Amino acid sequence: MGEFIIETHNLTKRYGNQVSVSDLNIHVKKGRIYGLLGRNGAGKTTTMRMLLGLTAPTSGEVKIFGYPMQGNERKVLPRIGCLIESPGFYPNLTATENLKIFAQLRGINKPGYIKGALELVNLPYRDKKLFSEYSLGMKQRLAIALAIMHEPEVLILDEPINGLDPIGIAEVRSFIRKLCDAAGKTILISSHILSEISLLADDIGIIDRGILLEEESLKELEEKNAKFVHFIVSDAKKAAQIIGNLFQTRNMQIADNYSLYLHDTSLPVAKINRTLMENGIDIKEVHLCEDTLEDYFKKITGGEGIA
Amino acid sequence: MLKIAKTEFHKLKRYSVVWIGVATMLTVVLLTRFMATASDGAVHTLEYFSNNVIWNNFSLIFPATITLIAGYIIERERVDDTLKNILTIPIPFRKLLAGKLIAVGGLAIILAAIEFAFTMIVFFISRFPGFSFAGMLLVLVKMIGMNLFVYVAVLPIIIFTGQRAGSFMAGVGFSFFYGFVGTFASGHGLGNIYPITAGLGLISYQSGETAAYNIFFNAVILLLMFVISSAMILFAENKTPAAKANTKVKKR
Repeated sequence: MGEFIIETHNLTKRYGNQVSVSDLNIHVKKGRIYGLLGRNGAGKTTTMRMLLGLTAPTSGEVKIFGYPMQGNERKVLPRIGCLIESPGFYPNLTATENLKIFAQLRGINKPGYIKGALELVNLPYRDKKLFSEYSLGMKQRLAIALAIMHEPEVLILDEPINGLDPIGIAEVRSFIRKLCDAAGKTILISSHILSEISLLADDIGIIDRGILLEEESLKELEEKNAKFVHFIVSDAKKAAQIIGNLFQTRNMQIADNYSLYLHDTSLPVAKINRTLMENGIDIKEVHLCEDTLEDYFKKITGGEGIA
Repeated sequence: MLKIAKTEFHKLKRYSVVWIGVATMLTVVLLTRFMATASDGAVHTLEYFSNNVIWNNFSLIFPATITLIAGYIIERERVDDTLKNILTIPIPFRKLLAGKLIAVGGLAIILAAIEFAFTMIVFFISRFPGFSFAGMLLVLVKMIGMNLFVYVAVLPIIIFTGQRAGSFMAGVGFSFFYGFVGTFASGHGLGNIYPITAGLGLISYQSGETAAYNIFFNAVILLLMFVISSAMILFAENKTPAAKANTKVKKR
């Protein structure tokens, strides 16, 4: 099977002339949470649909558990739980009745499996409320219950926190973390909410306009984030000259008359402060700064930020 | 496949489309009773009255009704967005379709039983003569048989439209026309080969004058419809427009 539970090779999907996903190569490791991060319309859902065989790729290949998805659906899909787009259930039935139908179709006969799945997501068992009367958050929880009901090894969750309130988001987050840490499940999760991905994922893939721009562990991404010293001084231009002459560096950026960014963080800040003051420069503030994941996202997508 | 068919009955709980079937069965019986008031001199025995119900049912009501119910049952998986949950189990679309069609076959029998019940109630209320237990059982068998044969005749329409998202109402319209033409086909010597009316010979339908049926032709025609339907199921796939498949559902 190799190192990866899910991997794609040049996965591409075109709708007419429109390229939805282009030459995508993602690699999801066993027992880790992989966050697919991208704006709305970046190609996350199309990618997930192709992983599950719901949408046929135009070209490229999906491998799950080491098997090519095409032709091995019966071997692969029962080992996967998924939530794609909106929660899809029968509105005329209750949560328990809905899960019972899917359990019958899956051939699950284990006692208490529906109750257990509902309890895990904090939904009542044998409640008389119909699915059509559920709030969006409850619907989303039910969809998660359906995804985990058959105890899959892999979970593919497309925007699982959509519609949840802040407490619900925190609950689902810790629940997903627990599934990975305690139960050893491999989880692929997509989101356009950067903060969620950074709080949850071990590995991150950044997708934009159907192209995977970056794929690294969260740790590596954090290490990549630019660090710099921000000086707010009485004369930024003069301060830059002094620092440049003293340390033979040009790795600086003058933002305005008073702001100076020193990108070489190895230089001794205390010595810089003293030298600047000796040369008549007033120092108002000095900060050691680090780019956030959002700054990094903006930088590599070459555009606006994300939620 | 039977497992799928069984779950289809669970899915029908609190589902209004089943009541449409019940309402149409009541309508056809009431319509026949209303038509009986206009008959000159005819004695409405159980056999005569039930035969008229069967005739009105296959020519006016049942082809469209069963296509409507089947279409709803298939289309709801797309409308309720549950199809993705089923396909990722994985249950292929053709297997799901086959399971649903078995369930609809069961519904055709249930609707025949309902039609029979309404027929008997109206028969007794109207105090028509000619009741016998054997005759009553024969009516039930004929109604079930005719409903099943008509269902087989419309199966290709259901399968064709069921594969295409949002097109089942066109199938309902076509089935109504297809059933209605049965009246004329029967009157012009085509009753033995017209799929909708082929079942009449197999249930030995007699209305007033003695009709001549070619049982062999009737059976071959319905068998042919069944084989065509089976072949269509084997190659069936979910045909959702590409643009729609790529559009996120915004009903959250």
